[in-house]
Amino acid sequence: MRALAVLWTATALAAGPEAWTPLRWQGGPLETSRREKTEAPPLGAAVRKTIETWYDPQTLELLRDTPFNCLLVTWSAGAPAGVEKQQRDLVTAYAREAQKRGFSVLGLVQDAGDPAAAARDAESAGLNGLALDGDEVLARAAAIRDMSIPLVALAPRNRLRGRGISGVVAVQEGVWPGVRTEQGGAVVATPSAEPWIDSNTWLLHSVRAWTDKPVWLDYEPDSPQAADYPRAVADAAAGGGRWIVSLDANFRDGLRRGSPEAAAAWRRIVETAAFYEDHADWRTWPADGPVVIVQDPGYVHADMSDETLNLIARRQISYRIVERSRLTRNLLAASRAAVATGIGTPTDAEREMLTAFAANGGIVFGGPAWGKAGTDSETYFSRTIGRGELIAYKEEPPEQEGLSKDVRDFLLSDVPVKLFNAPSVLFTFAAEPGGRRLLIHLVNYAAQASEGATLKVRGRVSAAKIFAPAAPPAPMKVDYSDGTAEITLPRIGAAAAIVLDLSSKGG
Amino acid sequence: MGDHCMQQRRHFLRCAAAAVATPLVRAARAPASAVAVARCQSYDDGLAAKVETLMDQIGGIGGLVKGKTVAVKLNLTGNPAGRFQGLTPGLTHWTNPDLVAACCYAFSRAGAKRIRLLESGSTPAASLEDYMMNGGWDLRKLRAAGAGIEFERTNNLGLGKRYSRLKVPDGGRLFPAFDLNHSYEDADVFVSLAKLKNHLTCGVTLALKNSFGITPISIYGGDAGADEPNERARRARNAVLHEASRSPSKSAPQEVQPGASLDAGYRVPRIIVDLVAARPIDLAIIDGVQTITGAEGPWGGRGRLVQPRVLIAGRNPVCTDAVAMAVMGYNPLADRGQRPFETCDSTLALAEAAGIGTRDLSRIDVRGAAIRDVLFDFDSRMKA
Repeated sequence: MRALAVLWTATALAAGPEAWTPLRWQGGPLETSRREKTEAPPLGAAVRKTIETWYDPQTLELLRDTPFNCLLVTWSAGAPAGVEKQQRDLVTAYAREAQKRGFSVLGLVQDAGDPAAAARDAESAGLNGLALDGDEVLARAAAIRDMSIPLVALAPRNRLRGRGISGVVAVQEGVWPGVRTEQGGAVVATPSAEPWIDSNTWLLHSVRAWTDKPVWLDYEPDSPQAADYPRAVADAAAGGGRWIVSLDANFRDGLRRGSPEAAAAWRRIVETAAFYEDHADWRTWPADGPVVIVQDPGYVHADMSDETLNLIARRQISYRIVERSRLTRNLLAASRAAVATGIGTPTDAEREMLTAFAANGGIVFGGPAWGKAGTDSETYFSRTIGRGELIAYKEEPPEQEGLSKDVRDFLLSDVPVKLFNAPSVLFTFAAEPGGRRLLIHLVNYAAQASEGATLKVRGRVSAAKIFAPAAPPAPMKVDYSDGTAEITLPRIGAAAAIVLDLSSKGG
Repeated sequence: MGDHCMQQRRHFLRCAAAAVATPLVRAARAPASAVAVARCQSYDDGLAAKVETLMDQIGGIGGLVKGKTVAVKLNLTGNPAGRFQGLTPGLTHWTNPDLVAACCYAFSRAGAKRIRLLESGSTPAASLEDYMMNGGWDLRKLRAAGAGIEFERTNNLGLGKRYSRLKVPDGGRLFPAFDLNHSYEDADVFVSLAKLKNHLTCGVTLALKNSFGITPISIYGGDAGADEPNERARRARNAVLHEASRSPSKSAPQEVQPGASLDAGYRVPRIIVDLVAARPIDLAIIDGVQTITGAEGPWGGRGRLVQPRVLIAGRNPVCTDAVAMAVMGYNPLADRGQRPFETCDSTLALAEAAGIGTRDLSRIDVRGAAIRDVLFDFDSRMKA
């Protein structure tokens, strides 16, 4: 890992934002002052001191041999001038030291900070960019757009969309990933419900559907256990993005004090991040799956479309997202089903395209605009079109939980990849561009490892290999049952990835 | 539990421990049949041999299964994704897959032509195999346990072309007949491979109660079709069978007296008896090696993982359940209002009254381990 880390840190500045692996690295007197105003309960004395003295160059030693190469440091928060100046002097020196070691440094400007002054000072200090945080980020970014310093605007995705963001799309949304549990961390379900998993992979897929830029997720840990951090890293990476790793103050205090527990937890975070950065090319593999979800950002119920993505992902169904303007016959032809409930009334061209898709054997899920013909079920009318089927919901938008279950039920026999006996694991898959390899990301949202899971893949698999943090890649045995490949998975910790070679030769 | 019930319970436990079967109420002369009991430490404890011994103790199964199609109704209740204390459901509230394999092996060795594993499954799955795999079952191991092992999910038509209508010979308590998946009619021999558990509605889940799950939700589910079966139904049976807030699909036989009772504690035991009368159980096997207390699944809130370490088998499901109740520390002669039937009628009593079998331990020949030696008091192990 050391050689790679050296390579990462040496190339971070030269490579630019697409190679940045971000880490919130806030500290200094401005940070303690800010936290004291906003956080409850207040920081303990020891933790406060840790945060206040964080910009001792010694803390850079924590980052040695890690993939993190972009530090978001506290730069401006609208504090009294004296505190702001003290902070900037401190950070300027720290940033120089960090840059010598190959790190990019972005100054975080909180909403109370003056962006123009912060930008001027950041340029003078030689920072690599500013990260605007807080309210009205885009308005504040617009105020300094003529300045040459690169900007990262941390904002909800609906404000970033269509803004021609350069560099990085930094989405300030997300949930602390994990499975909601009872009984001492065990995964529990009711008679008819799966355990509830909080995940952000759908959110990343959603953003990546409209941008080719690197996507960061920015959210704070929610009462984290140290073991939870690798999962947060994996959750974002499985969606093709990066979580801006943000360590809570107590954890950082443990690291600073050299606590063995904190050091071990930090090592696992590093290993997980390194795992995904070692395979950064996976981010270029487009999402794949049997379902196409057609979206329209201008649709009056667009927020419901988000829920569609979230809930279908939870049903272990991988999908592609396409904006309605980019829907094509070819895209549909490679799919088994199209969910078009997120566009309201289809245009004539869309209707014609989706109807043709159904006639060729596809399943179309649409809204009331598709009419009331066919069999009247409780929530939808269904009718056969050629070799396929049209499901027209009575309500607009349809009840999302029911929709996600319907998609699962209608596709039961037609899902090319299925994962069994892994209730706490979500998977998503991507296809190698122009290749015959399939990448399956597995993220385990439970505290316990997942054991005894089985993957079933329709058709022939010439080779299967599993990758996991801090472990060498390992080939996996493929068995066949009724023409379906069955692969028994080893123990899955927080995350793993499987690459299936579907070519006839294997490899 | 009231003082009176507690006293009765203590009295019963004393009697069971002393292996004295003094029934509180003399039941009607329903048939009696031998029941075999075996101590079984774990699912690694030579299951195949233990099952074979149990079968021998109840008179052998060669004559029953040789050259026949044997349908085995499993108990795979709840979502396969549900986990209790992180364990796969076969180690908590489902029939254990290793025991299923051991039974298949025994049936196969006894000459069964075909063994068809059946369950409805509470969540949609492409097949019963998928459903089992979601519960962590190793299907290769199961398939290797015997010749001609098949799987069918019976929540709808499944692999059949039409539903089979099975009549309740005495006209039924609630239903005169049921429309079921074809496998329940096709089978020459019907085995209820159940779990030793409590049940929130019926007090206990044993071999009789296991038959409740043979009803397809396409007809008896909350989203069953109004007129015809809904092959994509996915809601549980509560609305139709527990609460009678709606009827089964009109294509199926309707209740004898619609609206007679809306009480699940009245309805469900009677429906079970109707089902068992319509599709008799030829062999009952109860998995009590490892299970949970308090409810039929991890959703009851009073559950505890327990290890009664016992297997029970018999040709008559009422007799088998009576012995199983005694093993659980309950009085099989208990009626409504008495533990564990505080809020429901006793399925065993109704089945006995229907002439299916006796629940009177004094009439049941218990072979193998004595009840007192395997007694495992469920109530004392339940969460408060």
